[in-house]
Order: sequence, then C-alpha cells, then structure tokens
Amino acid sequence: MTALFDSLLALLPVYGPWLLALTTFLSCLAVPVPSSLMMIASGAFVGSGDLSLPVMAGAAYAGALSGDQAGYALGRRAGGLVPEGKSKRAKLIARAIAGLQARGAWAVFLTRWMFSALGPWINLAAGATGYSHRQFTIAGALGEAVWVTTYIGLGIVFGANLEAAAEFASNALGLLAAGAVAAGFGWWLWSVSKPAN
Amino acid sequence: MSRLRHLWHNHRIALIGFVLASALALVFALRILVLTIYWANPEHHRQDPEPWMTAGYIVRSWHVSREDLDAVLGVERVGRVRLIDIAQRTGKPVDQLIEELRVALPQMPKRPEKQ
Repeated sequence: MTALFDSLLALLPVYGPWLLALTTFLSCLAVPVPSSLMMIASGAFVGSGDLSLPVMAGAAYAGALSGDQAGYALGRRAGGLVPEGKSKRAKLIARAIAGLQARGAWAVFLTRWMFSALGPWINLAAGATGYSHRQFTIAGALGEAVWVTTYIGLGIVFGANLEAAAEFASNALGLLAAGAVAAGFGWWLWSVSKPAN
Repeated sequence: MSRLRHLWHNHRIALIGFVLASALALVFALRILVLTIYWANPEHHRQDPEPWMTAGYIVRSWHVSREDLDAVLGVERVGRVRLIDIAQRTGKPVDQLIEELRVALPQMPKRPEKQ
C-alpha cells in the first residue's frame, strides 16, 4: 500500500465520517481518491470497535449521493456544449443519448459499483443529455447502496487484515467484470448462432 | 460442433473474446477461492504493526487480548488510539514502539475465539 494511503488510513480513526464522506463525494466527480479502499478500511475500524457502523455507512452514502448530484448538475450546465444538427458527430452523440435514454437506469446502477471507474462520466453525460433526473436519482441511490454495503461489509468481514480485504475486493471486481464481458459475448454468440440451424 | 465451426468462421473475434473473458473470470474465481481458504485460518490474519493501526485493530488482527496489548504499549485502556498517539503519549519514537510490538505480539497468548 502506498504512503499516501497510509497517511489517509492514519486520519481515518480520527476524522472518520467526514473523511469518508469527502472521499466518496470526490470520487463521484472523477477525483482519483482511493474511495473503495477507504470504505474497506472504515469497515475494518468498525470491526475493531473504533468507529460506528451507522455513522460510517451514512457518511459514505451521503457523500456518494451528493457527489452524483453534483456531477449531474455540472453536466446539465455543460449541456449547451453538446453539438446539434446533422453533422456526423452530432448524429453519433444523438445515438449515444438515445442509448442512454433507453438503458440509462441500468448504466447508472451498474456504474455505481461494478464499473465504478465509469461512474463520474455517466453522471456528467446524464446531466448533459437531459436524462431524467428522477430516474438518475433512483438508479443512483440503489447502486450507491450496493457499493457502500459491499465495501464496508467486506471491511467488517475481512477487517482483521486490510491487505487481504483489498486483495479480495480487487479479485471480486475482476471476476464480476470478466464475467460480465463473457456473458455479453456469450449472449451475442448465442443470438447469432441460432439462424444457422 | 457445426454450430461452433460456424461461429469460428463467421464470428471469430467474438468467440475468442468469449473464451478469453471466461478464462479470466475463472482465474479470478480461483484466486478468490485460494484467498478465502488462506484467510480462513486466524494465524494468517496477523498484519505487521504500522503507525496508522489502532489498538483495537491490532487486537483483532493478532487475536490477542486488549489487556495484554495495553501492557506492552504501556498505556491504560483508552478509547480510539493509534500507535502514533501512543508513541506521542509515552514519548517513544513510533518505530521503536513498532519494533517492541513485533517482538511481543507473536508471544502473546491467543484470545479464545468467540463462538
């Protein structure tokens, strides 16, 4: 683990909820902070009796929800920059927007936790393309609940050794991502192989 | 088989992608299995003491009693304290405190597992 993460870890037992809320807030705006690791560490300190579970889970959740809303609002302000008209680029963007409108709730939900690196960009895109704020908020709130529960839970269960918990989390995410890609290819292959018979 | 041959001729990239992604998923699943078995043993929980750790964290990581740990640290039982706080309180450099813990922790009696 890096020196920066070690100093963040040292601050966690002292500024617990504030630090965790700030971390999850910033991570929703694409600031590179180790938010998943910080949640695992918070879970570990809950397990060791140093921090309170409802306070830490609430702080992480509040930070993530407000970060998502801030990203959406930023995107909405930048929405005027989306090109319109009949150019090739405008058509591509229009297609992307249509895709987001059709499957947006799933995209928002899954990018909160499974593909969380994409989360901040989905926030901006959703705001910029005028995606329904209500749907964004509901799908986002559900996804963030999964994110917070999974990571803090992981920290509580595997909290006796943070390095082990972090390793476990990265492998679990790898499994989910590789599994999702395999399922995607599999589904596509299945659908194209039918007409052959 | 003919279906597989058809896919190989017409959708080679998707087929390769499917096999590679499945293999990768299998590797991750096996690593999770190995990690789970390894960490199920409390002996393997023990993490080398570091300045950010709280007394509570060390108690959990090493399966020792808080009283035994406090005796080595030279403090009365206090709430949420990190090793850096204890070093400051006792006027010891934190590296020295960590060295002392490295020697003492493996010799402490194990706290009985909670049922």
